[in-house]
Amino acid sequence: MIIMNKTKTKEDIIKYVQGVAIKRGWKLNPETDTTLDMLVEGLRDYFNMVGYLNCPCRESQKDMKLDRDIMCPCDYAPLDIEEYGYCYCSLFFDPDFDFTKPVEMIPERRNLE
Amino acid sequence: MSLNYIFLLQRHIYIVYNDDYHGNSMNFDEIKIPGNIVTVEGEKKMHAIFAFTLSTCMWCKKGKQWLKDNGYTYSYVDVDLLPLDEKRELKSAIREVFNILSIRYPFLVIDGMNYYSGFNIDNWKEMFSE
Repeated sequence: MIIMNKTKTKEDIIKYVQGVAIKRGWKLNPETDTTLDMLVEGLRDYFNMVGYLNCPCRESQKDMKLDRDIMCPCDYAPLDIEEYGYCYCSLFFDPDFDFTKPVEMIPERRNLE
Repeated sequence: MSLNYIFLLQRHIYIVYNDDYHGNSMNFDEIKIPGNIVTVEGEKKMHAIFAFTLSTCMWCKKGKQWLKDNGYTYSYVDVDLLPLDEKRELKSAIREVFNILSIRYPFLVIDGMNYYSGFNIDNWKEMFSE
């Protein structure tokens, strides 16, 4: 019998987002002890709550079909990274982003209605 | 037609001074907010500040920390931890009161009338300037 691990640890999430960043050619948020830590914990908590990696800064409908577009990395991340230099959560960055600039919350690209 | 005066401080991120507030059939104080409402005490109590947040959201955490660091008394509820039906009812009431189509987090309500959608330090500073 195969027993699947239905919860993820912080280390699991770090491994996952590092893999995404490498695959997509992005950089992770460099504030490793603060912002990145909060984002990783948010992803972990969402996964352990709903069973998939919902964007931590967006509300989940607790239905994978409805939330497919906001599963991390979300469908909007490439466009946001292209336009603003980072994704909605500020988890992933354009490698050429000027990190001396302040990182503020960007507009929501997702149509909520 | 809504008489909201929208001050665009940043693209798509804005404070709304809701002059149409009293024209709505429901006001903020009438909303039954379910769940675990947490109040964080600070020395500044000149505004009634309520934040609708997500427990997982980094911007919400930063917003709450900013309020705390700046000494504001505020209350919040983590909307994602509510049962689905209660959450739907709450969001529907918020949309009705503020005459809005969507909510993004953190969603801050000041004195039951004005709201701010999202977290931006400069705009929050301006909103709380005395």
